[in-house]
Amino acid sequence: MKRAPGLITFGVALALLLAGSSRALAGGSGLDEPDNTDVGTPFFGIVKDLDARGRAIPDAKVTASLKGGNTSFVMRADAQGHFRFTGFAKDVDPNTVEIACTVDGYKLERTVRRKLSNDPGAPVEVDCLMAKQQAAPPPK
Amino acid sequence: MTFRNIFACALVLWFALPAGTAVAQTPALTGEVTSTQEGAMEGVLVSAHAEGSPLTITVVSDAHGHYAFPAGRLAAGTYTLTIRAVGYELAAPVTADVAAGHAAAADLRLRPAADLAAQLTSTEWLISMPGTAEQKRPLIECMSCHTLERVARSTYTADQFVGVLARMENYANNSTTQHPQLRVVKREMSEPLAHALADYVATINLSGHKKWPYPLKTLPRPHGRATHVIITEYALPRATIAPHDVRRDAQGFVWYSNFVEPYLGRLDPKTGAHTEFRYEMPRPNFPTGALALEPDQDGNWWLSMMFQSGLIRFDPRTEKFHYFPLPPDMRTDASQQSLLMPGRAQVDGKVWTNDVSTHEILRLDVASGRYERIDPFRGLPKGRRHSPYGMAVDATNDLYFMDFGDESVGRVDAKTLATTLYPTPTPRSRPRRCMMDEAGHLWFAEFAANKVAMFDTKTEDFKEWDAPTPHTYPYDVYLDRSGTLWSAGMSSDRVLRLDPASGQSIEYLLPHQTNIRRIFIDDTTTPVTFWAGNNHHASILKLEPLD
Repeated sequence: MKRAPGLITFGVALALLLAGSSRALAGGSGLDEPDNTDVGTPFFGIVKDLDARGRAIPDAKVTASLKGGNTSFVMRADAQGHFRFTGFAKDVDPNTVEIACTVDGYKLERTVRRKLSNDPGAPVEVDCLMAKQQAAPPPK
Repeated sequence: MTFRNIFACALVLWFALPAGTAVAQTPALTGEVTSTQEGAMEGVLVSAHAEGSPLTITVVSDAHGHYAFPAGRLAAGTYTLTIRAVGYELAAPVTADVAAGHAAAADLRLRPAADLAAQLTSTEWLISMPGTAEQKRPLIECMSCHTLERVARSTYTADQFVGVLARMENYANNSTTQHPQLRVVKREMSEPLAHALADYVATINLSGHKKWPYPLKTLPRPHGRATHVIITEYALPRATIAPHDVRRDAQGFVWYSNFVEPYLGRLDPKTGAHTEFRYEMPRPNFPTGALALEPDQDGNWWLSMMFQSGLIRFDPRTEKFHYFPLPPDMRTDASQQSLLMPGRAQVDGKVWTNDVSTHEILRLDVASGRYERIDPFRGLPKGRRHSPYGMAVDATNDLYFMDFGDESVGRVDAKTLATTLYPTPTPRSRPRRCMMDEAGHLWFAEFAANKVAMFDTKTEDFKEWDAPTPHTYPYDVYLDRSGTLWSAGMSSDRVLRLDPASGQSIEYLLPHQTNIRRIFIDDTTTPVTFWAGNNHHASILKLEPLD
């Protein structure tokens, strides 16, 4: 029973991921054939407030970066806290992709990763669990 | 070698007049614009040109059909008057004799145009043509070299058009109809995409019809504040000159890059003196011309050399060029430096540029002349149409670039060379040229999205504004001192003035077909003055709003 809300959320997120996949694949308008066959592992997830029973936090900044790769993407989660990302290539090991989230007044407590299957290129769900930051004590 | 072509001497008469003044004085020339269909007509552009002058001055009729050329804008002489009002033409040729100290008068009678199609902008063709957004999307590439009237008037069948497309793929980006140039390395053309485009074009051109099988739609004429403007066109001395980027310096000279010829151009708006500085072509068998023109903080001009490859620096004090070639191991027959940014080179001695052929960013160390490569798309899927284009830098010479092939604003850290990509809120936006304001806001044109946008480099947030007219495809933007955003492009013959705070906008119609690339706002005048080049018609354009 405890998993049910997560599964529902997961289903919604997966639907959003699939619906939005054309966005990441699109680009250009010349007469050179675009080649989208090299698009790699999709990542998606939700930014959650640990102090509010996992309620989604809207408009968080989400960063996807390659470990040691010197390349990052920065995007925004939507109003429901969902994000999706398909920016890296097929030969990028998904384990080398780091997802981080930032929200004013919160710190990233941890991320929870779930691979949907063991198939190569299977989507990876990454939820960002955020905790409210304690306000700094006033200076003496 | 420096080559000068100064043709000002005989033209002093036209340039001796004070500019930007005397709007409220007795006009030099006035009249009413009327037609049987509308009576008094607002928003008709009235242009005055004297035989032998490089200048054409344009004003716009008001709500009562009244037009007025301010005193001081027309020297004494005989002027031929022309108009722009889509759907109309002058009922008869009109000339006016202007004499010093007297207000000349010439009423203009208009009649329905005999050839409406000849008056449509590319924007109006795109609005008129039936078809889906996906079908029309490839047509926006056509406007780099010619208007869509050429496409619409063509009589090629779909099969014939595939051959035309294949031929056009061989032309360099820096081609105009006056000066087409062949590429050394041919581009790849997708047969399925070419056939899809050809099939579509054959439905909207004259291959199967004597008349277009769809109504020709037109945009409204200027109204209200959009009529409060004076436009000056400075004709350049050769039809082949293709001004691309236009910049004004502190002395008031207007400089431009020539997209198809090996010259840096300079116009003195006060005297009309036009000077060309020729540079040597390092690759004689390659297409000529430069795209980007940017100043460094020492007052030098930098040009990106396109297929000649490398960068060139011009010192206006010594009038000498210094060439920074690509090293042999980086230079190929496809090398193409289209953009550059030397604006903060004094910080670390580095100038940013790009290589279109490899989709890479290059960084020049000015002292040593060495380039280094940065691949901003490491780890991203191959086969995507990435292409670093418009460039701006922050105070520490970190680079911000537009991924014109795709949909991101990119940042390259000057110290670590780490790249961060920020996808725009609108997908497939194809961001094009940009500028950084002093608050760290990066303003840019979203070419394919028909929007202008701002990226806050501190908060990493975007804002976007729709262009008020569909199919205008903004090429560039410029934020003026009051926070008003200006934009223009290749398709609509209009200049956009947008208040980002309110979203209110004005579109100024231009008197002739005008292909605009990089724009510049002169903040030293009140109101500000808009400058741009007409890339296809060899003129420099000055637009002065009157409020």
